[in-house]
Amino acid sequence: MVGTFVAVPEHAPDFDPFVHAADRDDITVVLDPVAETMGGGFCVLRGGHTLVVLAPRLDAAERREALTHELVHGERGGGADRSGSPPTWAAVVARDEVAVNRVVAERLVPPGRLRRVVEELLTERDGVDIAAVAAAFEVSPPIAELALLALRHADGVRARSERGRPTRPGRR
Amino acid sequence: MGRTQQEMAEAAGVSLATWRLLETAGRDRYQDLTTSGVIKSLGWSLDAFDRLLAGDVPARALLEPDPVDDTPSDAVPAGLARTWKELRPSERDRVQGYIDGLFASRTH
Repeated sequence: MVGTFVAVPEHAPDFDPFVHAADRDDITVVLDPVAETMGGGFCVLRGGHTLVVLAPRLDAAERREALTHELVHGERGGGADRSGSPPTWAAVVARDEVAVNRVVAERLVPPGRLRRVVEELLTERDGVDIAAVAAAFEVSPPIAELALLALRHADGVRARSERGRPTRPGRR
Repeated sequence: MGRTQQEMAEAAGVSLATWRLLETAGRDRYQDLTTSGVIKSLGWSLDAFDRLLAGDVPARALLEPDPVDDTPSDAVPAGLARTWKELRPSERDRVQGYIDGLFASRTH
């Protein structure tokens, strides 16, 4: 469970968090209105078991994204939030949330499919907007934006390496 | 590992500068939160650092999962859109009571 950071292959099938959770004995997913208290969902680890609670009002797409988010938290050993932490710790928690959402974006918006969708959108329209990508993958706009940023970054790195220029110092 | 230093630093919850220090053994000691984040990001067992320093075989120290509960005692639920700190005391009690009840029912 700890640190299982699964990289999704470019042409991986669609990630279904419900199938993933159902395959694991150490993950329990529950629908309960108590999840509203924490904004629609939460995850907690105890005794090596991950409990994810989701709000029943979430629609199918929202549940898929929320469950993926909470599962990634579980894989990373739980959230960064700690009781009794100083106010400045909020920045660490926020950074952890961004890191989690990057993984969520990678799983729900696979780069290979995203590249094809972007090419289709560029053929049909003048440009690519976040809302269109979000609709195509049934994810929230912030996740679509993270996926597009990751694709742009990956293509930028590829373009630099194809031109024979080294990537930024310190990068592997 | 196929991941950049920036990605590894983010996965560990530390700054890029700290990650680089770790890679180059730039310090003799690190804060517990730093080592625990690094251990989690690498998928090592929780006591890997201690076991390595004690002379354990690296393969065994790094790969064997810790059989006991590795959840920090001060860990709080990770919320989708609200953090634990944002909850009122009554809301915390409600969530904590729900969690305790659910885990208690699992063990019975």
